[in-house]
Amino acid sequence: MDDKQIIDLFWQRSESAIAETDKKYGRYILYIANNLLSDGEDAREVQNDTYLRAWNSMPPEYPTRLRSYIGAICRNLSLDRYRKRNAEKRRGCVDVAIDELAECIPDTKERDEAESERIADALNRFVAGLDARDRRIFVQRYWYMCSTEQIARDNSMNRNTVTTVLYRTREKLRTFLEKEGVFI
Amino acid sequence: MRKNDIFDAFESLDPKFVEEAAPNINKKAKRPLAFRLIAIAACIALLVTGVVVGTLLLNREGDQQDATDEIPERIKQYQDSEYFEVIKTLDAYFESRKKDKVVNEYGEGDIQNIQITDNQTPGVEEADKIKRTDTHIFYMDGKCLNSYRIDGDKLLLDDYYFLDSYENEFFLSADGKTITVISEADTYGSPDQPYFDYTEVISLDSSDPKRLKEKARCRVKGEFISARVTNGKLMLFVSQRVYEGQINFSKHETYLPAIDRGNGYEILPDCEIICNERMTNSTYTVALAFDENDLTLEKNIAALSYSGDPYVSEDKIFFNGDGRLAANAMPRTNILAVDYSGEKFEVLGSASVHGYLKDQWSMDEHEGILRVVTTTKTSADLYCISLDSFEEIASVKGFAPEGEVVHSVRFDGTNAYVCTAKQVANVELDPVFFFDLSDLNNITYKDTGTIKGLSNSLVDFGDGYLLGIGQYNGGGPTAFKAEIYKETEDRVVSVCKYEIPAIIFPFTYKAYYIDRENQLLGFGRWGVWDEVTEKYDYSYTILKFDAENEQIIELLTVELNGRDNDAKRCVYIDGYMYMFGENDYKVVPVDVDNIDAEQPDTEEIPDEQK
Repeated sequence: MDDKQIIDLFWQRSESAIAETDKKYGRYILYIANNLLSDGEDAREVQNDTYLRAWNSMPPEYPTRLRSYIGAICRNLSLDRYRKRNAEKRRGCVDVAIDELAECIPDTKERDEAESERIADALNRFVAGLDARDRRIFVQRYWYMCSTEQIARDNSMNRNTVTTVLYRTREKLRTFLEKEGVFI
Repeated sequence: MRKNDIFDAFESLDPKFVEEAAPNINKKAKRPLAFRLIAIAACIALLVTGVVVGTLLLNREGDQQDATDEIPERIKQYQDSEYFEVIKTLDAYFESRKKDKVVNEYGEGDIQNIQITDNQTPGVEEADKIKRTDTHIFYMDGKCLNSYRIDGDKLLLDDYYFLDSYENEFFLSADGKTITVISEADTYGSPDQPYFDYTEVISLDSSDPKRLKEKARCRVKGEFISARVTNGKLMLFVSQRVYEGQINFSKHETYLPAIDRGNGYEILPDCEIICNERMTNSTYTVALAFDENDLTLEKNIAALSYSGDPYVSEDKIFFNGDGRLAANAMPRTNILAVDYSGEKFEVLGSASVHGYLKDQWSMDEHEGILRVVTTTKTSADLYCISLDSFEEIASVKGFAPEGEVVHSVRFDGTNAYVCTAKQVANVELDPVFFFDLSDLNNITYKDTGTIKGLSNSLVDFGDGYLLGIGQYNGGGPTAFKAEIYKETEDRVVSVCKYEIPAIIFPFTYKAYYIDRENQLLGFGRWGVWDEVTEKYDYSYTILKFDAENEQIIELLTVELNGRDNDAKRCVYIDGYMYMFGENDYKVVPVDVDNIDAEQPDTEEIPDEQK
């Protein structure tokens, strides 16, 4: 069943919308949740919550790309659960990713809402400017939260090469953000 | 700026980047090179040792090779080879294994596939996660196909076969000697090789259930829809979408259906492509017919923009797709009939009906007439179409209350059963209709009136009873509902029902165990979080319809691991219920004929429904 048909099922409030979504993207969702949570039970619960969130959001939403829409819901729910679970400040995969990206900017105490939007916009332009390989690795690391081993396997590369690509891409991001004047 | 801001910004990443970077979640980890080299060296060493020892043993018997010794015909051509002794030894070894298989502890004679799956069309088998012979049960547990020997209250694992994907179903041939696995997977490849789904077909030799061996394999581009086996032929249906960004018309494999038989993808040979008059999508439904034994591709056909689940009768395929006259027009379905009984697929004709189909069960061929039930914009219709002229020869339009949607259909000879439903204030309401199609000039029907809940599947349960498997949502958590209906002189009545509140139950019909002979219904379920064990109550339930007292009782519920209810299966054999879950199975003795009269909470049927 293609994405449009599945989304139509959601709009028709047909119960088979969930079944079809699970059939097509169930593994994909579990993959994202497992990367963030490293716990099968939590991942499965996030999977179910993802379906519920999708059910409640369509309509009125009519995404152009169902997979990334569902994936984003799952990622956000996984992050919420991760943060709740790691309130004791255990050092998990998300903390590692945050620390890696934090190399690109200084840490100040203030939160600037408008700045967050500028960063998001700048990030998209930066990612668009990467070559296909580097973009794929970068997004797999920081959106899909894949480990460097997973990325190496998926891209048929050496793990050290992945690490190097990520390091260089973060350096490029830092330079890009400086030029953009995103932070002072 | 906080150090989290960059990480948080990934939430707003353009979806197209997310899409492009999606990992191949099926890719297996390669073992380190050193490990592989050691493994290869070990295999070679074993082989050489075996050959040397075997040769020494042969020589120790003091035999000069007698020139008149009978050399099997199949290896005579190699007599001049310097490795002829090795060839003879290996040949003799493999021949001896074949002989062992014939005289085995399971006895000689025919092994036969004993049907478990509730197929839509008799004689046209559908794939499933469970099949059996009289000695073995085969069950697909995720990636692993298990071969269990039946031994009363025990199951003995004789062999297993690992697959690459988690999404698998399979067939067992009529003689029980071939298992054909249909496996779903997808690939992301490199930036030059765009993402596509593919379906893998693997043929296994199951003549010895203790040694499942691969015989043949191929891959077809496209997402698996369904498959059928009839008369030794495997028919596979896949859905292949063509993406505009991937098309290169100078490379046919970028826009035409394709198959990989071990040498890379090639376009399907001699593939007839039928295009829907109204193109609403760029998806092919491809039908391929293989020889079940060796997967030789015999014929194929593709219907472009016919993307509904096909219905397969004894000799025809009915493709279906969106037939609306314009983007915002009333829903319509185009149906394309193709005969598959001959050497080639033959297009017979097409028809168009108002409304859209729920699934394959919404169509049925009976004595040259195609019956179709659709949901229209305001109600539901039933059509009878001549398969000679492809004209509508009878219909009942708008039989459902306004706003209701068809949830389940079942045809049984000249009868049709339809459940429609709609939600009112978070409560589902549905009538169930009985149609008498014996006289198409005078189609009559009765219904239950509006009752709570809905049936996702309708099953003829014998003796005029109809089983509805569905749910009830009374504004709270969804409850499972099984309900028995029967036809009276002027209406349809609910005989009894059984509800289990607040559980998760299977979506797909095949996940329900239907035993008409013993009037059993089985399914996997879970719903309650156990604070002590910190997990859900994964279990399996068997219900029995007691026709004598017209009640449904819960025969048993046992703990059975596995969150995926749609993957659980069950079969009743000679007094035992064999139930399969995730890395788990249970065998429970059951006397289905002497049920306990003790009643669970079966809701009393209100007088107005009797």
